Amino acid sequence: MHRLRRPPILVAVLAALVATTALHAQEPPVPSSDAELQALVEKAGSPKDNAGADLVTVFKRTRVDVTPSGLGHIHEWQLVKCLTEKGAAQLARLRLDFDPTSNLVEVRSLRVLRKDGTVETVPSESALTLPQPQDAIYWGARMKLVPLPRLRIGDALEVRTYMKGFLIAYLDEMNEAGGEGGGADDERYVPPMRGHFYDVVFFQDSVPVKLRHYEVTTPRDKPVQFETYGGEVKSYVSFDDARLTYRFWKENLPAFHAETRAVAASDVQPKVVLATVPSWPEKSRWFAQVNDPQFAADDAIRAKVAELTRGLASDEEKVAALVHWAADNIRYSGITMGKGEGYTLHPGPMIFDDRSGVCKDKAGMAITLLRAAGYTAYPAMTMAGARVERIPADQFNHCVVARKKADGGFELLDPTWVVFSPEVWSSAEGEQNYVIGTPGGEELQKTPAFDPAANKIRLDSAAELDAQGNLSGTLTISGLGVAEQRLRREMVHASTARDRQAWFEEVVSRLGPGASVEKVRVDYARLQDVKAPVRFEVRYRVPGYALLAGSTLVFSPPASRHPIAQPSLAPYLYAADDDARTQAVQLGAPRMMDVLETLALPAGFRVASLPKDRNLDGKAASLATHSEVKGGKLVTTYRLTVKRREVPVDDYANFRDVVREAKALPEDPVVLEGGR
Amino acid sequence: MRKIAATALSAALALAALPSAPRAVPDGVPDWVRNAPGRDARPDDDGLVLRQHLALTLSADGKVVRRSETAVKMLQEWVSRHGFFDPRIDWNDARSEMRVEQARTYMRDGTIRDAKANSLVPNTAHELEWAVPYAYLRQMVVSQVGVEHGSTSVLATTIADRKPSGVPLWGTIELRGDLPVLDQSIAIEVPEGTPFRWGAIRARLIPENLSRGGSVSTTFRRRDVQAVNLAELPSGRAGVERLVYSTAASWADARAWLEKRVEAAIAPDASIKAAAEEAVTGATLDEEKISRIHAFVVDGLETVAWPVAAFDYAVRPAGEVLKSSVGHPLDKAVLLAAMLRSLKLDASVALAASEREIAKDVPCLPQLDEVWVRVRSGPHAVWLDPAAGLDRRSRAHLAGRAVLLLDGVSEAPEFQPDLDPASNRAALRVELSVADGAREFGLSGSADLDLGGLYNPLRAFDRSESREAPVVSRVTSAFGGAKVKDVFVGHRSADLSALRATFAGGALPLTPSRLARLVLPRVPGAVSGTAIQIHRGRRTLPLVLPAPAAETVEVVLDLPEGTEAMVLPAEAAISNSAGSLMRTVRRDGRKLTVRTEFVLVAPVVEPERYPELRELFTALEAEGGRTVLLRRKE
Repeated sequence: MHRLRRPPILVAVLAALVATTALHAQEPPVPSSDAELQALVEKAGSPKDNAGADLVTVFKRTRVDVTPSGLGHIHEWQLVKCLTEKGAAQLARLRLDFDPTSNLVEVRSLRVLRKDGTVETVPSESALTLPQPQDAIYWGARMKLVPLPRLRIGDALEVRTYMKGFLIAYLDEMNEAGGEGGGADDERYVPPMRGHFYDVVFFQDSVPVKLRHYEVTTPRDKPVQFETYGGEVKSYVSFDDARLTYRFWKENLPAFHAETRAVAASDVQPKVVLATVPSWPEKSRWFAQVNDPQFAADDAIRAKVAELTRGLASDEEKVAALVHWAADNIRYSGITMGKGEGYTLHPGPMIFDDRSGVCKDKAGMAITLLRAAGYTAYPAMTMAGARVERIPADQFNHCVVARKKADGGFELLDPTWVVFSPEVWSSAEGEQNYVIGTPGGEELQKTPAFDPAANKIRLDSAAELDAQGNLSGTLTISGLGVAEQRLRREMVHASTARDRQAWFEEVVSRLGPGASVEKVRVDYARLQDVKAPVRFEVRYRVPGYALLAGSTLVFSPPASRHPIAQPSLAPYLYAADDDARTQAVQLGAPRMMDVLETLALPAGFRVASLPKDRNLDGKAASLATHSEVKGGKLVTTYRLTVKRREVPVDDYANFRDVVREAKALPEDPVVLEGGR
Repeated sequence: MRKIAATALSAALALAALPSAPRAVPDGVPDWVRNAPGRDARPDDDGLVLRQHLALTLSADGKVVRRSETAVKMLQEWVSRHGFFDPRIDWNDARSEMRVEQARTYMRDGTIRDAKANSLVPNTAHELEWAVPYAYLRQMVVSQVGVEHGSTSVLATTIADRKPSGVPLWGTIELRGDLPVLDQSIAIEVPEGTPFRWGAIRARLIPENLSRGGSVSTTFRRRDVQAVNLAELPSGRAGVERLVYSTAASWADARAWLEKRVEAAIAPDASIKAAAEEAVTGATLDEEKISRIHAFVVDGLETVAWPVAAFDYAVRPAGEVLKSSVGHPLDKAVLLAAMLRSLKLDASVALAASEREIAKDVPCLPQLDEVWVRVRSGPHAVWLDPAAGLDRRSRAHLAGRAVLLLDGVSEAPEFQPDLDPASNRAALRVELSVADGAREFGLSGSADLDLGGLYNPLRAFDRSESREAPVVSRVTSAFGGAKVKDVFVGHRSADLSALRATFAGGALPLTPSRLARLVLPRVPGAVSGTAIQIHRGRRTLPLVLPAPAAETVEVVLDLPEGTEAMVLPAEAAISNSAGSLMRTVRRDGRKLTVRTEFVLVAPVVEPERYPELRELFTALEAEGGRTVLLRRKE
């Protein structure tokens, strides 16, 4: 658990002292004329100077003026140079995203600095306001599109914009008083945690950046606590009688490219997290306060709770029944309720009627049901797939439920992630930061890591090889935790009912081309019943499986060919191609593949050679295989364990070696000699 | 600042008046909903389309009204995740207005939930986010509420022309999908005397014709339309039943109608000429000029990947397209043709069908869903896709497809000659030297590679860098990761690339039992069983292959003393309706020669013939067909 160990004001002052003395002189000057801009454009170089990039950001400067209400007036100034014709295509238009309910954005100036020294002003009146492309979350986000004149290689686009408010819709109920520094119209843009400001500033982009500069000024009584991550970011803090000013910058950043199955970019890129909020408990109290009215049940909900809990004795059973009802019956489709969207959970009766919502609404439904059943439950903010830094700025992308237990502790519940899972808290959510919204206030916390065995896929293979090298057998596939959920989802989310046989055909095709499957029946009612463990059984035949040389049969044990290799079930198989990495591997959960294979050998054959046993072990992963002959049968065990949800860069070599060794297993065959 | 999607918003506001509270109206559930089969009766279906009604009306004043009603019943979870309950409605807002007439869910217990205003979501399709010049193309997502297992959601919409568009009433309609349809009805009504043609592809439709009040309607009704398994399709929708209709008088009329628009847009412009001349600076050969102009249009303008028919074939002047740096395929084709013509090259725009089958008797341009440019280079015609480089898309991709050239004379689409195994072929001959090492076999040798037709990845004129080595290394890396040393180009043209390469440094590790497994490669660009999902035991839809093809691989191994080939690839001789496979193995002292000839003759494999294709691929790709197992003697 991360805790702030000293008063935020002290952090700010210390940072100010350090930064002012060391780095002030290095701050890049602000260009003050077109000639200086043109010089910077020239200096930004060519594709050759920028690793073949199509565009380069000459600079991006952000200046934020924070008012006492917490409202930020954000001025952005950016200069982008076109390096190739592909770059020209990417500058066909300028797109600025905003949320009309809480956010205002204006193009203040738009100019093209031609390579020949001329300057062309683009009229911002040509901008269109259109809905953003939306999938599953339909909150009415908008975008301004400004068509741009064609840029030629060497030209640059200069953009100055003004924005206020927040990109996430906030509460209006909080905005009771008159606004500061902008009149009553600004009220809709004032953040719901009135008086407070936060930001997460990233310094890298998909194109090279020569300079990224960020400056924020706050009232003197509103200090900012901040911390930098992902490498050095230069900073400088100053003040006068009225204002505190914080400046951050970084120069000559290469384009950011995510490596295969990497952790979130926000965990890797240089960034500054800053906030005026003093602590997480304060954030927690605010979150609880604004959402508490949303969980009132109506008669229909109370009747549903009675129906769902009838005959159930234990709290565990009742809670599971209520959470799974919300998981399975609230369709993931987020329509907007207008004011308050984004950080307010929809009212329980609304979700119940709509039968749809996003994570926060599914959580809201579960909380409403739980409270109606007499439990104490609160909403919790979390960040799926990325880290939450200790500075109490909003860094969340997901909402879950925290139920208060009799011992005073909390049980986390996630109705969004346990669809088609027996769990109430997904084992893909280990080592995940969260903050529970309670009236008393909670700290930033982290969920415990899961054991790989909790997410195990179990493959039992019983097969028979005949003297001609034909293989037949049965694969029995079962799983725990995330693996079990993914197995069910392969059937109900990824495959149509009429296409499920093809899933098994693909599994056995990994044993060899021409493999055939007897009809597999996957009953939907059984898939829905998460109380019964999922277990798929498939009978197959593979003609000519073993290589036949006279009286010798050569083959690799079927299970060594990784029949269960779907990316959702064995993502690690696709994450070890790089010799080295600079970004950690993100696999969602620790995992285990556990195989027991019994292969009946053809009569009259003896084993001339077995694959060597493997035993690799390290901090991130391990592989243990063993083959032996028992009673005329070849018994093979295989266990691949990925011990970490994230494989750190330092442990990647161990992970890579384990996965590569596992993938190479079919190269080490069994040799049977006949005729004896 | 202009505001778009006013109609969508007004539709949302119109529905805002609908009651948002549940309406428990026991008798309000129609019988066709109440009596529809449930999951017990249809365990193999994810959902059911209870009703799929479409009515298109062309009025005497030339305006079109399109009414649709679709009702989907949820049986399994899959159907709640693939857009069935968040359907997207697309329309051309410059031409028509869209109204949502009904968005309603009948819940399992009979409760009726009508969509609220916030269920109707103005949206922009991802493909159109670049499309500032085409912001009139709008989309609305209707997020149905009250959806649950056993519920039925109904969406009824009307898209009505505001004024006559001057565009023929034409289009194609898919008739089958992932869900069975219990009640399907498509009605098309036109004024008497209007030419109207229809055709069905892969479907038998029986029309009901009715004349009344100066109009003639043609209605197609079907019941219990079986679902097809769209997951079988490697890409696109080839092989799915379609209805094609059109009021165009003839293909010649349709061609002339479009050509008039296109030619006006191609008209010369000083900016076009300047851009073209700059792009070809230093080039002397026409082939190089064509290549540079093509690359400029492909790379230098964002492509709006949206059907050109949805724009009603509206095309902007070439100069405007250039200035905007963005265009749909027809816009880009216009720019490409204009730039080529400004260099005195003979260029024409053409439409082509992405699918092999069209209803040729129906003069319906939307059947021809791709846009190409044909340019003359000496005696040759080069076909250019304005959105893809020549190495990715070439004349070979048009083989067997219908093409309508906007050349002032074409009377109908013409089918381009199909590729045949003689021209669409790839051959690889490898001489492989195997050297004995302490714990591995070393591999080196030479490879001759001939790549023709679709196999040829080096069609574009390009003198900027060596592109051959990566092609060859796709072969040589199969030999224990061997690296290419030298590449010699024997021949390079749009039809054929012939390369020779030497390679070395490959290593085959020996197992503890002194075995080493060498898997013989296939040719680069080989038709792969994985790509066409050959693991499937059966199919319900035809499988459309890239083209008839021939692949030949000959590998000559020179083994070191003390090493034996313990297992050789199985010889094979298979010939069936899908093609043939011949594999021979010859031993000559320490030399082994394995030769595989694989021929695909049928570009389309019907479901009943699929087992024969599978037989070929099984024999071709089986480990026993491609593996040489080497053993070092003790």
